[in-house]
Amino acid sequence: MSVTTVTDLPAGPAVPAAAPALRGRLSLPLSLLLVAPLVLLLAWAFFLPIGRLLLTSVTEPTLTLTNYRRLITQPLYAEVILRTVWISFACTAAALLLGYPVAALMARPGRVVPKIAAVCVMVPLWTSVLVRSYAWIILLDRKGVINTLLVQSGVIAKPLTMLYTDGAVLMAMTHVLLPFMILPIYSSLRSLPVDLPRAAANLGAGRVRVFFAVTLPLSLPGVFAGCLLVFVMALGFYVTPALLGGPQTLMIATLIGQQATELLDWPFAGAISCVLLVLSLGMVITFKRLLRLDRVVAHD
Amino acid sequence: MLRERPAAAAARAAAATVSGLAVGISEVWRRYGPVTAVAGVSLDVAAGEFVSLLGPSGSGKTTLLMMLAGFEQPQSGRLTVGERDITRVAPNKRNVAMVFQRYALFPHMTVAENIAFPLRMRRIGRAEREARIRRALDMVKLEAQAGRKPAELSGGQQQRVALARAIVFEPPVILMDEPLGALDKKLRQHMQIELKQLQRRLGATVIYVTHDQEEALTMSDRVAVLNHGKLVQLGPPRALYDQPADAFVADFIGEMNLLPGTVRAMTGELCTLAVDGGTAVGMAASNSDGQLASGKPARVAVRPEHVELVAASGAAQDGLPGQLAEIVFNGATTAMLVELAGGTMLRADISTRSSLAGLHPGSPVVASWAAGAALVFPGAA
Amino acid sequence: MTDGATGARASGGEWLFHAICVLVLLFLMVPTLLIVPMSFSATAYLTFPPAGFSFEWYHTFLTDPEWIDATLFSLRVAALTTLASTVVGTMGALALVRGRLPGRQTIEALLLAPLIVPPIIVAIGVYLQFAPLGLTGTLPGFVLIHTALAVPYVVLVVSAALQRLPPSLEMAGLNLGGSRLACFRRITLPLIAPSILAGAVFAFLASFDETVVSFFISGVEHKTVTRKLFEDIEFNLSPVIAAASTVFVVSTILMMWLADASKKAATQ
Repeated sequence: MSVTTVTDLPAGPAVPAAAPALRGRLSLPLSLLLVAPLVLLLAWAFFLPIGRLLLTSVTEPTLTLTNYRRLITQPLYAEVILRTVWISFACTAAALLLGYPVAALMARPGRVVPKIAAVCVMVPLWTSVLVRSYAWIILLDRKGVINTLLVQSGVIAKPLTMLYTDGAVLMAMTHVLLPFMILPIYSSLRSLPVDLPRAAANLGAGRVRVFFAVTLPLSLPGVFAGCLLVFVMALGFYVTPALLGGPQTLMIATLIGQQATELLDWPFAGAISCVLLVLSLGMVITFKRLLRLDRVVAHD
Repeated sequence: MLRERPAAAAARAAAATVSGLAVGISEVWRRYGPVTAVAGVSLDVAAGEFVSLLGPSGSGKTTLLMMLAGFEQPQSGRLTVGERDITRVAPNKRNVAMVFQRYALFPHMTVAENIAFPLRMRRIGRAEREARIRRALDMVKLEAQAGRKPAELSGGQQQRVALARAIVFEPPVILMDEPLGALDKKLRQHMQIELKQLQRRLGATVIYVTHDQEEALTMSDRVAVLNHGKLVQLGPPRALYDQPADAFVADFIGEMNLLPGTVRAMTGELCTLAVDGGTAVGMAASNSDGQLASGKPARVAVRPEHVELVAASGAAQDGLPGQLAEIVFNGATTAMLVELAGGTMLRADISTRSSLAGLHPGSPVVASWAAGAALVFPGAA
Repeated sequence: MTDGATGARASGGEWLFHAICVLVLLFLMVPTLLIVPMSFSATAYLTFPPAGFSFEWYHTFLTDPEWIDATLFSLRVAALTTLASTVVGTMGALALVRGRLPGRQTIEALLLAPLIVPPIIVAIGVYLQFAPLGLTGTLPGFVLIHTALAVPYVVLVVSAALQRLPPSLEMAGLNLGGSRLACFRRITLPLIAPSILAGAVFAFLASFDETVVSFFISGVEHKTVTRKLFEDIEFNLSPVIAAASTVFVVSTILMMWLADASKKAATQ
């Protein structure tokens, strides 16, 4: 047993060495034992599969870079990558513009209004992406809610084609990812002491000045975290583009799926995956300090 | 350090021109549901005066201060600064400075930028701004820290930046919400003196919220004692100490023995009571208005430094007999805790130099005081 | 309540702010709530407003063997995933926060990978790894990959709780004569229990909601309910989807609400 009890602790001059143990530290063997299942599981079920997928892109059928050459030389693929980056960017910008006011509303003092806002943000977050994408199909379909309402009210004569367009994908993705923008901003606004905007007002700043001189700059960490989170998630988004996008609106993730399942071209799927991974991880590592995932997950 | 520097003299001359301004609080009420936070408080503060709002937590002192700053609204009543009614004025239009409890320094701005903020808001030109910032920094002795961020400063330095930011735009009134509460005791005592000197040099009007009665007594020209939202007593520190208006103030300010008893006799203002173990005397409190009739419950209040102790001799002695329970050495004075015959504790502070040799815990003693040194308040505890 | 600048009456800017907020909140809520009226529709195709009212689609959802099998399979996967990731994650969190581990920061950084790596990459990689071993479309296969994906949530939530817990509490326990194990069991564990529960709820939902990996490794026989939903949305837009979605959304909200309430009860 490596569990140390008080009586086991060495007395006298060995105190510095014993100090960490006194502060509740576990011994090395026990620590390793506790962390081993976690590390082994992630290594075998997560990192190894991804590593092997990336490896196939340069080893199948022989050691080669053909897959990457194909990715670069055929304009279709560059187009897909650019479209993905563009949609992710637009989605991030839209989420920021829509999300900041709601985050500010949630961070206000009071009981009723911020709570209602919080429920409106959390309920979609707890709803499956599938369900929400399905809801957008109901809304945007040729026989869907919006077309029905517009035709009935006489605004348009014939139903519009909204589904399977870039616009539909962008709108639904913004909807799905919006909570991931709101929560980090809300979190940084909440941790802003109420005294700071008050002090600014006391020193003579009006509402608008208080916002731009104090509130906004101090909430920037939340804004950056939200933007990074939404952008990276949008880059690799599969479900919504697969369901709401048409053949004309391939994104990187749907392209990977298509290569793997329809064309069974695993090495090429691996090559595209590598590009997507470099893009996503590159973003995250570059802005690592701004991304506080634990804040988003442990929202208490 | 008491001699004024030229800059300070100039500042004082400038401050003199704003005198005549004062703060008026009249019949202000604020309720939160069933809780009354401020119950009809009226208080006038003269220009250049340092007034403390003193009270336990929940007494309404902070609410009152927040109303003056505009972060709370009174439901009725009027607030004025000089001739100007500010009751409904937005916080940023009040021109009333506030030093926050945790300073509320803007963490993303340097010390100089923090101090520049109110000047920018008032569209004060660059040259004038720089000069004023330099003067304010000089006044709080932080010239060297101008370029630092608040997080790089010590607690005392942050406190000084908050002060500089408040005085830099020469507001007619400075509100302070327990500004020294976050500092350790030594630094707090040091800052009390520094703050007081600065206030005098500037001739500034200060309204200061604190729950620390020592701090209020040390710094204020007048102290307003609040309890349950009401203004209980307003006066100079010495008056509060010597002539507390009621048992609450008596107990809250300084050390006080409060012995419950029953009125025996009233001879003019002199009241005789039956208390634990004997008879005690004191003067009727000024606002007791005939409530001290024979047979009514009352409390006699006497400061520990006014209690005299002698060893019990066995013969009949005037005073309250008891047993010495504890001797607590406090430096200049020694506190003698006496357990009276019925179990009530009485404290006597004796000068350590006039040590009562021969007394030790367990010794029988007799406690007494001059009638003029004690006050009698009507009512039970 | 005060809002920082009580002095000013509701100005034009304030009005605009509230109008924008209401619109955004409607944008968030309406598509989510829309499935509810759809699920009670009396027609087999989508119409709006729904024609008539019926429980037909709930009946179909609860009697169709395909939906039942998929739902039960997903529940089994999620339950086992919750158990596995709670145990593995809590142990890991203890080692990371209270242990003496070489490369602790590396492990912590790698732990975030499942939250960042796009699910499509995981899906394809896991399919390539699992297929030769016969793990695709099997309960152990799903539990393995879902645990790997869900365990970071548990580690993050439990680590945060452990970090908030002052070590002085355990020191006091030791000082009062408890052994390390007794102190953990009687002091630390009860205090972090609400967070472990919260982590478990996250893990359950992460597994039950997991779509992309499940889509790729589902077999003909064993498919998760997300795969079933995906197929139906793509190939026959029947109101059963709305009925099933409504059931899932309501259960999820109930679960989160219960977890939240128990956490609050525990901290008070």
